[in-house]
Amino acid sequence: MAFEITHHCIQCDACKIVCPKRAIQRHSEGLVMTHRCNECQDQTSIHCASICPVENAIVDAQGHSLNPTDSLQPDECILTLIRQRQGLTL
Amino acid sequence: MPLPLSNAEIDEKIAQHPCYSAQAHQYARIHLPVAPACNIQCHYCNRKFDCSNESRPGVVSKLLSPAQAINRFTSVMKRMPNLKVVGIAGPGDALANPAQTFSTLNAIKDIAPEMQLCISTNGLELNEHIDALLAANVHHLTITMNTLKPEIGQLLYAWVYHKGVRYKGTEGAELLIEQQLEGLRRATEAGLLVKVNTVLVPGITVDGLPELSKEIKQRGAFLHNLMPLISEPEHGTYFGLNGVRGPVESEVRQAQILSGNTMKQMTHCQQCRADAVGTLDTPSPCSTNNSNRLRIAVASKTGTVIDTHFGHATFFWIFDITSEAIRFIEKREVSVYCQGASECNEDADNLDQIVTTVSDCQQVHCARIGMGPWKTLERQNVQPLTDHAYAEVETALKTLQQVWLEDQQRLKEVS
Repeated sequence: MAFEITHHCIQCDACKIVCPKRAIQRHSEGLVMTHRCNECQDQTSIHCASICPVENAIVDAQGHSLNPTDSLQPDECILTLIRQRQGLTL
Repeated sequence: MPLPLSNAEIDEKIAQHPCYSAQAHQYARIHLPVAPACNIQCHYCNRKFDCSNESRPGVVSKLLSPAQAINRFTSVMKRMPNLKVVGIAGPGDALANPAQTFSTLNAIKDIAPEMQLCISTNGLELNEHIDALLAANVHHLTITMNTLKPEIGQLLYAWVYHKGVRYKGTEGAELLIEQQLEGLRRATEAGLLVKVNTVLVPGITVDGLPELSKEIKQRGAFLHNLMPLISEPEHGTYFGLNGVRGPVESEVRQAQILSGNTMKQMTHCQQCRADAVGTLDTPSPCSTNNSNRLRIAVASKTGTVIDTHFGHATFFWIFDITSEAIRFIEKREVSVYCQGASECNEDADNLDQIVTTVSDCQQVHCARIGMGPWKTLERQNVQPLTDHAYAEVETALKTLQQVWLEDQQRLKEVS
């Protein structure tokens, strides 16, 4: 078992730097998850997925995204608060 | 030079760093873009571009490996005798890429020990790396700190990654602020010269400035750089896409006065790229420039050398640079702006006609230019430059075409 990096990856290297198993390598076509990945089963969290800045860039063996669409967007109430403070009307 | 520095050493370091001293504009700096990863997500940043709490948004720097960065440094050092500072500012966060950042810094320390080393960071991992910074002989540190309050921080940061976990909302903001404050204090105690950058966002970061200024002063920061939020939809940032506005000029001045009661201000920040080179006059091409040509005006007596002070120009030579060619367009006459040899009477009408004459140009090249005309031109979206002062026009044009082509190529890659 291992996770996989998809085409949504923006090549920022953040996952490669934090992976506790050094499972992510840079190849000519981009960042690649190697067999060293054990899905962070011995960790308290999934490191690569926790730092990845883009949605849908890492999937599990079933193809499920670890950061699905909208999961990294701020809550709607944040925008409301900002607009109130800037005196903007909706 | 090991830390702590003596007062004389501190004065020298401040005086020769073009970002730390407004009088140091003749010194050049180079940013080496070796740090792509980031450990936080700011609402004013689009990850396709450079970190926009360091550079103006929409700017892309081509990533360099540490080895490539050293090569770039050595070749620039040969042609730029006024190079004084080497900085790592991005494209992401310098301390989120410790291996790349420190191997680059340590290599420069060994081959050019006279260079002043500088990094920029959001401060989240600063505590972990203070010893490494000292060992690498880094003396200058910039930390971007926007607020002391987690309830404001949650409006600025989508999430913060620390030790394997992603933290959101006020929890993430509180963690970031704690780490920044602790890191700032420990850094200044270790003798590092710390500048704090704050992004000015009306209604969000402006009100907290007096309190923030006092806190950073108390923790030993010696310079405060207030950077106006630049926020357009085409930057693709959360703020830009949602119409969150940056400050108008009067709000910026007001903020500088507010903060200036406590902290010495930096007022000449160019919000430059993670791969910037040269004096602070060096251009940062803006991604909102959609034109397929670069039109420049050159202040020159005969059109062969860029030899004229902006205020003394009677002619501007206009050139168009495209990917295919460099074309001379015409010679435009102006009334001389500056009557005296040194002092200019800053006659606004006289300046207006000159600015109008070059207003269709993206850049104006001259040997020297005063602050007043410089700011007026920038407000008209014309970038003044003295980077090629006294160069032959032909040589400068070829260099500009090369740089412009590279930027156009990079912009295509990210859009």
